[in-house]
Amino acid sequence: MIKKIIMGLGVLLVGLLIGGVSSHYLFNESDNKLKELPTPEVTDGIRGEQFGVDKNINESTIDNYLGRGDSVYRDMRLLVDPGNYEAIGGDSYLSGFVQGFEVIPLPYVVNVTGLPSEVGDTYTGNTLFTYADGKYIANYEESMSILEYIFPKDKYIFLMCGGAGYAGMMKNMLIELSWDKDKIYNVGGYWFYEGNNNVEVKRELEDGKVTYDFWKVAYHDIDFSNLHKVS
Amino acid sequence: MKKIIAIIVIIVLLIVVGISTYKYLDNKPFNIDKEYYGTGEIIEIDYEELDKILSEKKSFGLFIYQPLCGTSYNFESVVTNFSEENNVTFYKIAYSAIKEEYVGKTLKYYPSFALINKGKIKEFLRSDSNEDIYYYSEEGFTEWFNKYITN
Repeated sequence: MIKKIIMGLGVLLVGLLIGGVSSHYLFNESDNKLKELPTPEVTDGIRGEQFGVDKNINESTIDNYLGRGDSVYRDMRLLVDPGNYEAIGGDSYLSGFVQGFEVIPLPYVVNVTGLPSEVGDTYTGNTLFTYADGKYIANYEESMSILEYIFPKDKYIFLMCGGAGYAGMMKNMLIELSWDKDKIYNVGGYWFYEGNNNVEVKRELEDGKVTYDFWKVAYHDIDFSNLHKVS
Repeated sequence: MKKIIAIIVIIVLLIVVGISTYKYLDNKPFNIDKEYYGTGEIIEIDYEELDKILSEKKSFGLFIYQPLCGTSYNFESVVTNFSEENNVTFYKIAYSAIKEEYVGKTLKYYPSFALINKGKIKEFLRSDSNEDIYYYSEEGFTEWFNKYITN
């Protein structure tokens, strides 16, 4: 009698186990479902007030939000800045980036002002837009189309640069041009990133010289010679 | 039993007095070395130079910035104006040069300004603190600086 009870319980347990495991795989959508993103919110201090770095999605947490199909990731730095940053102890080169971010230099999108005098001029060539008198003016017929292609309005947009400044400028520009402010995040600066998705570009050779593996960078090149100036 | 309680109370009081005294001394204003007065300059240094100055236990002001990306420019003008108006020389260093070092890990973000007393960071501006936002302005920086520096 006892043996029969034990056997019955055993069959019941096995049945529950099989049923439970099967149900998990049949009905559980959580593996493919993207987690809801928090609404953009600026962080504390001047990082938030002046540069607009996000409180929830920033250098410390961006690893949790990479690889989303509903998002794009843009790094706003130049590969090599023509400004003389060595004069002030800086590094003109994009020495690394976060995996998944694609580079589109802000200075190609809009004119950059306010650099220290020792630097001289950064990139002063053609730009898609000119910011003057509080307005963004398209310089080319294709300017807005290019912007909409690189920063799709139906996607979440994660912006990053070296120290959050260019990313902040880009976010302000997109919002000004009617992008949804609740879909744009200033993730902050690569210099503060200590996550697990760092891609090193700068590399020291055996002879001590330094080289840059720019071939690793997904780069949006804008060839202004193929664009049509607005008259 | 009463003796034990009395001893414990005395020990606790001594600890409290000790902590209070330490806090008082730690927050006491200090002097920047005289060699930094006379001209108002911002001198760029690298980490080797900073390490040397710290090991010499000097007292000075250090502006931490990073070229590119637009982040430090506004505050840099605040620091530069203060330096010129008060004839005090500060050092400045790129964050990238100290990022992996103790100084960079202590400051955590840029732009920042650190007051160094005898080779040790005494106080610094936190760019991730709401309380420090005001001190990044001209008026605020003067107030903050004079709070910790007596000369």
